[in-house]
Amino acid sequence: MTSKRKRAMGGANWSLFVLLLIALFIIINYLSFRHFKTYDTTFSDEFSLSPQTKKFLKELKNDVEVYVLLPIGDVGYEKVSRLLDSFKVESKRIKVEYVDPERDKGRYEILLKKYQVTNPDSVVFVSGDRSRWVERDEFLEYEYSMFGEPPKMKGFKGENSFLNAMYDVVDPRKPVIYFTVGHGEKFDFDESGKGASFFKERLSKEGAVIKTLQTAGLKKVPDDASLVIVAGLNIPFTKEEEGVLERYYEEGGSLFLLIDPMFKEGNEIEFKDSGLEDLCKKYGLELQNDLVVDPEASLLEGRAQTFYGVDYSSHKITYDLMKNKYPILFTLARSLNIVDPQSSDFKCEKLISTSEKAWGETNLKELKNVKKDNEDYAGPLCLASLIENRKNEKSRMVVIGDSDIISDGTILSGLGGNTIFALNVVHYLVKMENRISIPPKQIKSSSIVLTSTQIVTNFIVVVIIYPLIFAILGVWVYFRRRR
Amino acid sequence: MNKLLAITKKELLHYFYSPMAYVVLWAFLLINGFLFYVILSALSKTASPPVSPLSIIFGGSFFFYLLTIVITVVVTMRLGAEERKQGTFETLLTSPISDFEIVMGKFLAAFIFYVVAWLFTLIYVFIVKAYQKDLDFGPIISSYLGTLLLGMFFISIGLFSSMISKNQIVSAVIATLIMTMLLGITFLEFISSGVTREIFHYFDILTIMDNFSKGIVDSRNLIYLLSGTAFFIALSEKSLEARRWQ
Repeated sequence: MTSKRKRAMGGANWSLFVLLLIALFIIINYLSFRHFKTYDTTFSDEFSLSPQTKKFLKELKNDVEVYVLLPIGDVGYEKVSRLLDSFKVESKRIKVEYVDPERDKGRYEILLKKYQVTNPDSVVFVSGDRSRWVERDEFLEYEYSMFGEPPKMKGFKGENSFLNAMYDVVDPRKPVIYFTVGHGEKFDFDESGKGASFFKERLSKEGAVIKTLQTAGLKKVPDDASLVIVAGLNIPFTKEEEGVLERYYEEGGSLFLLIDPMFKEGNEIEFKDSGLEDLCKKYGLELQNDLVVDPEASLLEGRAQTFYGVDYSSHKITYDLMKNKYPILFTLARSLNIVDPQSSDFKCEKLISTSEKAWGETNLKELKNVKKDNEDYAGPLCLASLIENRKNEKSRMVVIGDSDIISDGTILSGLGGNTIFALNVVHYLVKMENRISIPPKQIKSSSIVLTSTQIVTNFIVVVIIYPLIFAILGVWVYFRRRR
Repeated sequence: MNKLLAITKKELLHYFYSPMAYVVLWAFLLINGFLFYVILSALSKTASPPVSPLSIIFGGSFFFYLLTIVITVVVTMRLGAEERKQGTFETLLTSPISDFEIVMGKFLAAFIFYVVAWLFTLIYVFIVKAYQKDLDFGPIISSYLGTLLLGMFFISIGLFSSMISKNQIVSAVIATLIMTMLLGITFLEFISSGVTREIFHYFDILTIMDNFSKGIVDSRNLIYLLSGTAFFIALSEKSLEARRWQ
């Protein structure tokens, strides 16, 4: 064989080898691109999905198309794409398309029009002919500076909002929620913007149909009711109205009672009944006439009647709040006392309690100088309770000694726990537990602050001494070799 | 296996009996140390963003890639080119050692040197731990894993360049070019869209290192870095085989 031919053969052999190697590399990486797994090594499971999201994705029977309408450099882009990647790991039915508003302008405009998206930076979920879009404020939490600095991303709540959006497009059930009226309720659910608009909007956004229920003269709760909410009474319920709620509950209905301490009108402040005391007592829960004061968990010094609930049970309603230490803000609350029910078919379970230092103030005459005394109820006090009906498991009831937990003011002053808790209660009561809210993932502040002395010490150690050791070693090796 | 380890030992002795290894380690720790000091000083200011100093060290700055390229190029550029220049390759090729053992022996030696260099950066972890009691070790472990895998990939590129080059400078230039091109995928990803962008995203080393530094170990990243390493090792072996028949 001539050397020219030998070289040509060698060249062909080389080219074939390189081509095969490239083909193998592409096949391996294509398979890895299609079938992948991610492992979260953070101790706090920062990048892991909650069990309910995993369960939902694993059981997904319909395809869900996701359109990410965010520019690549957007502050939430990376978090969104990471989360959607985790969704894809759990289910092959999730199809994701990223559409940059600047670069894919045509496609972006078509999608905005097709799915009637009015907010430009959104993520759209589509299944069959149903679609739901989630705007940026629903998946990002910001911290605003008072000094004119740009807002910082504080938390990422994409898992919760995306999961709920997917529920909406694959499960079109719409629970009907009735709010009672006619008792001077402080929230007007017929009109928006009256005291509890955030809560109402969240319920509507999650697919609930909100209606009001005039209980005066009512014989029966409407058949379409998935839940009846009694919140912020000023005028007590009559015996007949109480009876309507009792029958509704015992026949498999769901009740959510948010009952503040109520006061008589007149010169001297005195407690009055809400008209629902007998109903609650029948099932083993006493509505105590007191004002809860918790100096240890108060929001502001000197205003111990506004405080955070600190002790949560491990029930699924409060489990994630407990795990993520999300506080729920109460203001002017009454305590609840678990007593023996009339029938062993009912059982009360504490959901939230105060600290041990709290007490239930019973003397309204000395409100300007409140202090714990013998007549007061001693802490820890129950603030929210769940009533189970063993005879009819469809019957569900949650009682809270404060209606302000759903007010706009409290939701805005709190740390996010109130909305999550109230929505969790509603999801549980309308038998849609799989929609229990997942608290946002906080963006961890892991920076460290050093004093100037510590900074100088670090400089000497890591920049001078430490590398110098290797320089000395090098010099030593050099002279040793010369010898 | 013994022959492979003998080659590894020979190369390692060559590294550590030469003052050059210590100059490289000194420069590596000086730059990393200075970077660490700058990061700590910057993060100690009240208006600084809440970022972990270690995530910047591992893939969060330009210096990480610069150091990785420099150290992998320096430790690999002489592996093949130097043997050819000194004429010791012929002796090696006529000995009863397979091409695979030669290539893997050299690769292993360069990788051990790289691992040793990064092990010395553990001092930064101890320093951060001293100031931050609730330090999460998960992302630190994954950062080291990512750094080692990236090192393997770059060393295999350096080894291949050295095997096909006649002198060390050419080898260093080729290796640096390939590594820079791989890092340039970030730019291609930025200017593309749709499926093309997804493909570039898959191969983007900056994204891969960002995952590792945050504590995410993604099978796609592992497969890419490992298959890339295997690809260049196979090419190196083939170049050695071609040289045998020249």
